[in-house]
Amino acid sequence: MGGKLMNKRIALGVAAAILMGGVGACYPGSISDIGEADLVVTVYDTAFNFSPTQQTYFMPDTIIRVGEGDDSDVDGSYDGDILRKVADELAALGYERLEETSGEAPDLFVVLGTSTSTFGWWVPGGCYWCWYPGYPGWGPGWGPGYGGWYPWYPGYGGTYSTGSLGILMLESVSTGQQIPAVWSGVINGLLSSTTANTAARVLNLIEQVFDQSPELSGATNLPAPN
Amino acid sequence: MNHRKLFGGVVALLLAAAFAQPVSAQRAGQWMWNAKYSTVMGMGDTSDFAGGFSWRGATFDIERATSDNFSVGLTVGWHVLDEKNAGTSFFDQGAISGTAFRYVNSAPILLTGNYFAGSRGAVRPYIGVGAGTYWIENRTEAGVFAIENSNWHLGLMGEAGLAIPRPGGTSLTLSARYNWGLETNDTERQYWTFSLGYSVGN
Repeated sequence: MGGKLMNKRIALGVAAAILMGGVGACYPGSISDIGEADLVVTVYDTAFNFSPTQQTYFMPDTIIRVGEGDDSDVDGSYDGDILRKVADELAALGYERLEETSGEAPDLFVVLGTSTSTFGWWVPGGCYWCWYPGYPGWGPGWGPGYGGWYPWYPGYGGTYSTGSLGILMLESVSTGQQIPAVWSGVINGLLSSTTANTAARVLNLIEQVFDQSPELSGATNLPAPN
Repeated sequence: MNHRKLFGGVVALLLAAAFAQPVSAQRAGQWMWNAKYSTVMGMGDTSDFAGGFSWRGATFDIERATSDNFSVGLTVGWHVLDEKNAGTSFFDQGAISGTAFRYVNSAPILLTGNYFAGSRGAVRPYIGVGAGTYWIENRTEAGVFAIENSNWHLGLMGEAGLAIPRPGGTSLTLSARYNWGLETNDTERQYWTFSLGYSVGN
């Protein structure tokens, strides 16, 4: 009788060990690096004809602060680097940047904004960003788009806030019309507190924005949905 | 065969086994517990969604012998698959890139029936079937966003294993089990579990 009781105790011990060690966590393998929380999303108007060598643009020398949160939540010390990086990327594609004093009317406007709001950023003239983050066309690599996405706090040590940097390309139209957005690139992720890391990370992500936007080059042979 | 008919057939088989009169009563009425460490291997859509193999799983069986060779019981478990992938996915109007984490958490609750070959005290191969329900949660995390989709599935299970007797009415078990959560809300999940167990009450 004592032996049977002991065996049951052993079985319970084995069961507890299996439960704790065998399964351990419902969601193992969460992010191990802050960069793994970054998302880069680009979207464009398929009807618009991108012709970089024939199109000029104007980009203000400031990054606007939009959405929720206090301005003080957003570190503005990288604004110059960010604006320069975007201008370099557009120049590499062939777009000509016009200065404010040029007196010419640009074909395009490029506007940058940052927000500490998790849900993207707002732009004048409409809710261009409202489709995100439930866009149903995400490829199979991202799983089926069932249900609704919701913000959560990734399992990464430390205290971080979330934020977005948006780059918006608008078509220059007559005064009084709603301004059509023809292309948008948005970086969303955790805002790091490590200064050097943040700068390098954001610049790399801007590069990714343009790397995944072959339409900006005027290419017609675009990657197939995957 | 229609999945629902197959499910009904397995349930009927289990009920018949539960109420069958024992040919030999030596082992009839005896309760057995089995705690198993399980590895998990996704198949088909399940593998596509959350990867092919995981070390994270646990399974618990309780069975009542109806004869020297048959038993009926209940099995519950917790089986986890996970996959991390990074890359760029293009869609019709743009692209998205980043790191995605995907998880399947499955909790089966099944009635089971087992047939043990050989005689008590020897190494005994066995086969089993099960029917019941699987609660399965599918979760994707990308950046600071996550999406979940959980369903209760009708489910079927088939198993083959080996019970290796040890002193004191205990045994070690090795088993392979095919788990099938039938389609619910356009989601079907199939996976193997390979388990090492410690059983009491043989």
